[in-house]
Amino acid sequence: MPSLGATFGRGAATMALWDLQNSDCVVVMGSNMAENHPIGFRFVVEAQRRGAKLIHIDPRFTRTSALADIHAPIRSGSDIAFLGGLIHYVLENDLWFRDYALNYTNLAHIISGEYVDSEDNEGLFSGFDPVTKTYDHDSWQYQDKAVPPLTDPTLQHQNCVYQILKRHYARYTPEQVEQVTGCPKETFLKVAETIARNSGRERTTAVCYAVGWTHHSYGVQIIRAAALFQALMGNMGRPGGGIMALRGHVSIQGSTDIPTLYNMLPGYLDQPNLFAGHAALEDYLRLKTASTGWWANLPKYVVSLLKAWYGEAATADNQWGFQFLPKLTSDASQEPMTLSMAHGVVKGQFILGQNPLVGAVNSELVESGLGKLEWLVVRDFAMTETADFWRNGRRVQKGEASPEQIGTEVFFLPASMPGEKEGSVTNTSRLVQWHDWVCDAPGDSRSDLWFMYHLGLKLKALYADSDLTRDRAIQALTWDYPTKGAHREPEAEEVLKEINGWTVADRKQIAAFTGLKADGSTASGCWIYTGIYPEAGKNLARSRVPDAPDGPGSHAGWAYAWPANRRTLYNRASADPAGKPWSERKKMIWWDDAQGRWTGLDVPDFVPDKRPDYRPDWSKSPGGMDAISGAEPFMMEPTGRAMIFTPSGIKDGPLPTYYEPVESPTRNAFHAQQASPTVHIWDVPGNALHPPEDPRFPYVLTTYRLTEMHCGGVPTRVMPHTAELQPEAFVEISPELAQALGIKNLDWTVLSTLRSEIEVKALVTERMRPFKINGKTVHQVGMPWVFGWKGYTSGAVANALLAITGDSNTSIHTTKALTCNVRAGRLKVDQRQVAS
Amino acid sequence: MSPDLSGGGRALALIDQVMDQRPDKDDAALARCARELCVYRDALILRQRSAPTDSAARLRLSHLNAVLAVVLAVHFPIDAVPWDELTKARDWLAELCAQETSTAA
Repeated sequence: MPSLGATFGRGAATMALWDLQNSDCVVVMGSNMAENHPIGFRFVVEAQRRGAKLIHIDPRFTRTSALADIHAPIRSGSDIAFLGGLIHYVLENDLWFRDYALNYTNLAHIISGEYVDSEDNEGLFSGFDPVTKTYDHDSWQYQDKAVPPLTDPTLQHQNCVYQILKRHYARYTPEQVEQVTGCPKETFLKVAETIARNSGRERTTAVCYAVGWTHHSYGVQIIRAAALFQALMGNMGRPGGGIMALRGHVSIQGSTDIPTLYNMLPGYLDQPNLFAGHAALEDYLRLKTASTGWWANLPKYVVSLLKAWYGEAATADNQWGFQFLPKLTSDASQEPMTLSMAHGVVKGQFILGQNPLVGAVNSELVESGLGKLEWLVVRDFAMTETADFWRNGRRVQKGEASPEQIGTEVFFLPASMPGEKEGSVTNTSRLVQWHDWVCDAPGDSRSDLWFMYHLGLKLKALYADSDLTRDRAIQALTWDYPTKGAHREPEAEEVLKEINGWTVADRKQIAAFTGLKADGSTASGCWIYTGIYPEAGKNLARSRVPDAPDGPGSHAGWAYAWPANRRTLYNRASADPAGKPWSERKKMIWWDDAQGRWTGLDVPDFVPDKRPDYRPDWSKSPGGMDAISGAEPFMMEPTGRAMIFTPSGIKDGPLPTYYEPVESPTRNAFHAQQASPTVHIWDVPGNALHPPEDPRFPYVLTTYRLTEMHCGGVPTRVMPHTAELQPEAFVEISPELAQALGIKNLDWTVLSTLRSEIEVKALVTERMRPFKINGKTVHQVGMPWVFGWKGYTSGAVANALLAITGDSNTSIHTTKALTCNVRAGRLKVDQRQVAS
Repeated sequence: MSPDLSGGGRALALIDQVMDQRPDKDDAALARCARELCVYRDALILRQRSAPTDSAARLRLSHLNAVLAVVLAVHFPIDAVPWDELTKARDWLAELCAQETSTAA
């Protein structure tokens, strides 16, 4: 979540799920929360019971819409036009929370005179290089790059962020919102008025989103638009206010905290990049350490991580083992790696907890790549389409490949299920909850921890005698976890202890990340988790003490939320600059002058004893937290303020601006730049894109999950009692489009793109509505992506239709807005997918 | 089966083609170049496995992996396209190909 990181300082949901019940208004957008996050949605229902309004902004009318007070339909992919409209509305009507935003955001900061806004340059910001399709950010910086930045609290300076923001969104009028999104102006205004009415000193609004926002070529900017809107409205760090990033899988939050992502180290530290000057630790730290704000502590976290990983082999003389870390040279995210597989670059792949033959875009290109591997290891608890690609894959079924031609050696290894192993999951609220072993897994099934640990042991044994420099990392890696039982299962709590961290000399657990040091005396596998195992025998993730009904409501005794067991991030913002709650009704953290400390209903997200009237003495060039005043709550940012305008950290612009999806049935009504200028497009065979307004592919296609089908579908398709709840795949089509195409409910249809064709039955429903976009009718269809050919329930793989593209910040694929054709009928017999 | 070392020469020609197109990025040529480098890499791996103690062969494989990493960095850049590194990688590959020619001679 680079957008939340760039705007507020941390890339994570800012509030606890249960705090949604304290909201006065909940906006769900880019999510079908009632169906896909039903457990968390109960807090939304509770908020409604207490009088809150629920707004659902979504292309489809779903069960979330059915429970909402307002459903605002928008065309898939037009989110920034809608959110920009909200920003325009509150600015033009002076409905933003002035006392909050003026003090806690960079609204008054003055931007360089070299800056040119996209509104003045046909959709391109200054610094764009049309050849490399990247931005130089130099002109986006504060004027004179002054520290602290120059400000104009009157907001009159033409280049202060407020004035830039007003000009940038001046054209996002309700009429323009209707023209671009298809949402009726009256509905849009009702949404805007409702949010404005429920924001301010006495009331708060929360925004919930999921992959309906992230899976776009500009997904980061959609979230940015919501983030800056919430900062403008004063809805951050306060009870019932914030941004709830709904994570799609049980521990997806955990897998970014301790990342499976190629470009991050644990705790949101950047993976060193050779071409960015990170060849040596000294250079990496010099370039990555902020001079002001909390990230001035970065060296402590990096050195402690290296000590945790490499133990005694990490010394001051060898840069604490920094050279053992692989250095990035290229984008090694999923999409480039998928393409590289097809080119023969990748020799082997481990797949754990994924089913890319169903869940990854352009599944036939994925299948082609898997067929080029030398080996593939799939670990799961039931046979998946991915492990079965060589025998029953789509290309095999269509005669484009055969098992005899595919040389990939596939290893399918049975995996334990949650009750068959101990460990932790980190949920969407950054809440780390421990779960215990209940019973042994059957047969040869093993936990992922068991697999990784024993694989590591074998690799260390293989390289033990090597004298090659490149093998030193494996040799140096500390891998000494105690095991138990006949299968030598590693002790998961020992891993958690290492993640928490200890003092090197005596292996004493460290109680808080403020105890970490950069001198090699401390080790910690993930600094933001420090405190989760603060002393011997005390695993706070296992704690299960809820608050009483009359308690503070933070439930601090229930498991552990990083960082420092805070439930609401940036909660210093729940008090005014003087340290008093904005209102009694919305109090959370306040300054206790008698005690000389911040106190309240949550763990303060601030320096505990920093007075609200503390001001840095800039004549002494303060650094780190000394440069953050007592009235600047966003202490992870170098200025201590939320970034309405982001001079750095976002690759495709300092403000979100409207672009059409890479495939769109209409032209961009805002400017000549049709799609994001920095989007990653890889023009390779099998991955062709549809040009704008392509008459061959006139309909918008969106894909989504189903309540009854978990993740890639296999866990539920192999279970009869869940499989029967969704007996076959379908495409949702509006009655208007169905009539135009001669399709009746349950008729077969063929969906086609330049990537592939699939056949699926029609579900003709008023849940899908045609839109009026730029003066013409645009139809949209929707299809669940969770079907495949394995299990009791089978159906076409929707992702066969999709193309590989990448958001410029994250390289994430587009699954929510593309174009397709629909026709009545079926595919030829030899092109049909058969269950197996 | 003797290793097919011809991929190196073809990859070199494709790098030259990519560099001629600068500053435009020729994705199709880069994809073909990666394929050819992999053919060459497979040949070097085969040779390495048949003579595990041949340190010179191992070094050549390491150098080729570095070339491949740079070609991927140009094809899938994180930020700016590293053209200067590609120039260096092109020279490494030319050197590798020349070594193969002289060894064969």
